[in-house]
Amino acid sequence: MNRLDRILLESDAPAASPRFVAGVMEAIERAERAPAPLAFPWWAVVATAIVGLLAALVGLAGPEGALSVAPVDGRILLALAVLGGSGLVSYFTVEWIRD
Amino acid sequence: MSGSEAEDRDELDRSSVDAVLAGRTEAFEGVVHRWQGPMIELAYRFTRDRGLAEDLAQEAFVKVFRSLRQWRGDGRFSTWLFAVATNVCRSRLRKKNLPTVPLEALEEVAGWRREVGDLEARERAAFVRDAVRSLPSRYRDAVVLFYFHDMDLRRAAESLGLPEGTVKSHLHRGRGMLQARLAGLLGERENGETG
Repeated sequence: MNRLDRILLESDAPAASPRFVAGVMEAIERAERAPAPLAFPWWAVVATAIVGLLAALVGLAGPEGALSVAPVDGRILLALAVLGGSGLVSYFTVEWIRD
Repeated sequence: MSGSEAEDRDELDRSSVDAVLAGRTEAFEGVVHRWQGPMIELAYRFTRDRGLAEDLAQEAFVKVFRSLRQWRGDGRFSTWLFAVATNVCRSRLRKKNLPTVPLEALEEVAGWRREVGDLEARERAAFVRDAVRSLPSRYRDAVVLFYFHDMDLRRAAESLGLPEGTVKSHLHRGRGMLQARLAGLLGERENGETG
């Protein structure tokens, strides 16, 4: 063991303040009273991904596109995009306010 | 800490965790009492800031409390506790840039400090410990955890969630950088010690 090892093995960390344990337990009680965190809205992510995929397909299959899939009604895409987007925006807004 | 002492502590931790999961929140106080010193020491080794070390230790305890159901119980409770605390510290350090001497300037500052002040051994040791924070994060983490766990590579790897070989390699690089830049301050050139 060299000198660097000896120095780094030793600790000069401060002792816990007298209120530390009480402070932790108060923080835990606060955390218990706080509402449970919202589940991440995976449904919104899936909806947005579907919209993206469909939009890409529609783009490829457009009048001049190489693919020949049936065109998807734009209103369905819009509804899915609004649904997914609003879910994500709501989630991040609520999490931001809670922080 | 001896093996039987560690086992005794683990027994106590397991019964505290069982009590908390059964609805007795106050049983967690025993865990905080037993581990407050090591948790603050770990956070202090990362931050070298007394106030911040207590804040991070508290944050880690709260996080552990909230995730108690996720502890699988297949290892010592303290292993999981330190892994959570390590993540809390690393995450905070990523977000908050604490003032530190850049690695490139470390040798110069160390030399200057040696010449100007004829530092006391205690101050010199504190400077060396501060210098760990100048290392790139992956080397810093390996050095901090290795010495925190009394040079036990396996436990350091468990806390970091990395393979032992990876931690060993990071540790070697980190120690090498410190040795090279602090050799003058450590006085190792004079007395022939090497890393």
